[in-house]
Amino acid sequence: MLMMNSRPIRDNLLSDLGAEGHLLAAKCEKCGQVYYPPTVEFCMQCLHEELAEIQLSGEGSIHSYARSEVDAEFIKAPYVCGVIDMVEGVKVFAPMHPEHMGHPVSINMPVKVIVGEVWRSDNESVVGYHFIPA
Amino acid sequence: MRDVVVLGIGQTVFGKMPERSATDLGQEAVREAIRDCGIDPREIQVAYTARRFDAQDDSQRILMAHGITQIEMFNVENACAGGSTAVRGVWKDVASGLYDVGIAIGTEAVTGMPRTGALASKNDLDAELGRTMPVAFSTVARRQMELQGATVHDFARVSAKNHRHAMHNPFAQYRKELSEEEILNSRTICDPVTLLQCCPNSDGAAAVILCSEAYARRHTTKMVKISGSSLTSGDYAFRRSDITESPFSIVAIESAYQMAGISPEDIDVVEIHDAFANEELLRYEDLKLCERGDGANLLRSGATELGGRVPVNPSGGLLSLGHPLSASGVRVVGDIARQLRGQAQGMQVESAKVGVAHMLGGSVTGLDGGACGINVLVC
Repeated sequence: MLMMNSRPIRDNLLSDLGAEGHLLAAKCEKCGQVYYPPTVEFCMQCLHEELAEIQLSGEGSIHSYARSEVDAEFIKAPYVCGVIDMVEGVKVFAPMHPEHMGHPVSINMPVKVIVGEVWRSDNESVVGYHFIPA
Repeated sequence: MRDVVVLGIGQTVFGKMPERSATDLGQEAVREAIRDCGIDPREIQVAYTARRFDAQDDSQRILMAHGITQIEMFNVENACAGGSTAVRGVWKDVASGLYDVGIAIGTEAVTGMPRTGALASKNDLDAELGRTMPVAFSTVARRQMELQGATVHDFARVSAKNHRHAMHNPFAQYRKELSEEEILNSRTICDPVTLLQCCPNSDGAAAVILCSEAYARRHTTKMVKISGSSLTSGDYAFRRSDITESPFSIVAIESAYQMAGISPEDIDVVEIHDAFANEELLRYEDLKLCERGDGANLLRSGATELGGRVPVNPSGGLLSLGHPLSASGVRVVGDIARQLRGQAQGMQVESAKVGVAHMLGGSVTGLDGGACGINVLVC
């Protein structure tokens, strides 16, 4: 069997590449604004420079969703994906986990965002995240 | 700032022309714009050319065929609003008095490229996770349906309207009337978005020559002026609570209306970014042609059809005329100028005096959009 290397879809985005991993976000220590992805060096709302790294709980609800019948660059069709209102107050875009594809999705439906492989290329497993029904 | 006149307009046919280069297409659009106003091309003092894919010294390559060299030339990229950005550049240079005459060009040759259709932003996190353009507009459509009472029939009606309009447009990629049923029964791309609710991939180019009023007087009696101009970049996505909202589009529109001193009820004709049929309804609202959430009702009233109160996309829009990305922002200015001159023939809006050319584009993780460019034209 070929050795499979894992790499995160982006650095500094996931607390762990395993199933216990969480999405990392930045939270302004002054005004509390949360940023995902956490690629900010200061708070875009109040300009405060101290941001805490937090882990998103993974809990959220469907803001909206789509079922694509055409391939994306890395994700093969058909796939379901959605914009999720996370309980921390940020929106996260994520594909639905393929194993749950048959499950109906609706606006406001509670979901959980979990870390896992989003695609494979050559000998590489790319780790990102999916949503699943909560 | 002084008044700026739209003096010359030109465009190629839009369509699938993989054998033609962006340079070649741009040169044809420039030739038509020069022919339209009859100026000596060597009098052009500044040029801006927009191109999204594979840009390479496009102003220079295009304009060298027309005797235009050794002037100030810019090459810009701003997603679908690239053309608006080029127009804005020339507008600023003429309005400020720096130059008297300049040309804005938008050109795109994409259908011969590998992987056309994906058109997703490179190295963008959400795009890698599957957020293609059809996905983005489909998620918006779901909320329009769930929260605003829009239906798939409304989306199909937008597409049917714009295809009907394009029947009269000699530049259109598709000149074929489509029924709402045909549109809804076409291949599903991303439910509820079907193939015939998506703009096509297109090649093509457009050019407009802008000048001062004094310069224009020597060449024309049809003074179509840009009385309001704006270009606004996207805002942080965390500031909007709903993905159906495009605050940057509204900021751009309000700014241009204010500069032009117009109210929404003054508008006779509009050309907008209708990359997907459902999007057109949101833009009615952004443009304040109706209240927020009332776009579907405005459509159903027939107001935005040719012959209605405020026809939207009489050219056929991106859906039927086609969408060579960077050309569209220039093309809409040409189309509105043609309307105000009374030269739009089968697409003509009766006695149009005030028109709005809108274009927006860009998809960036973390932002609500890329850029929105507005030009208010009056005669």
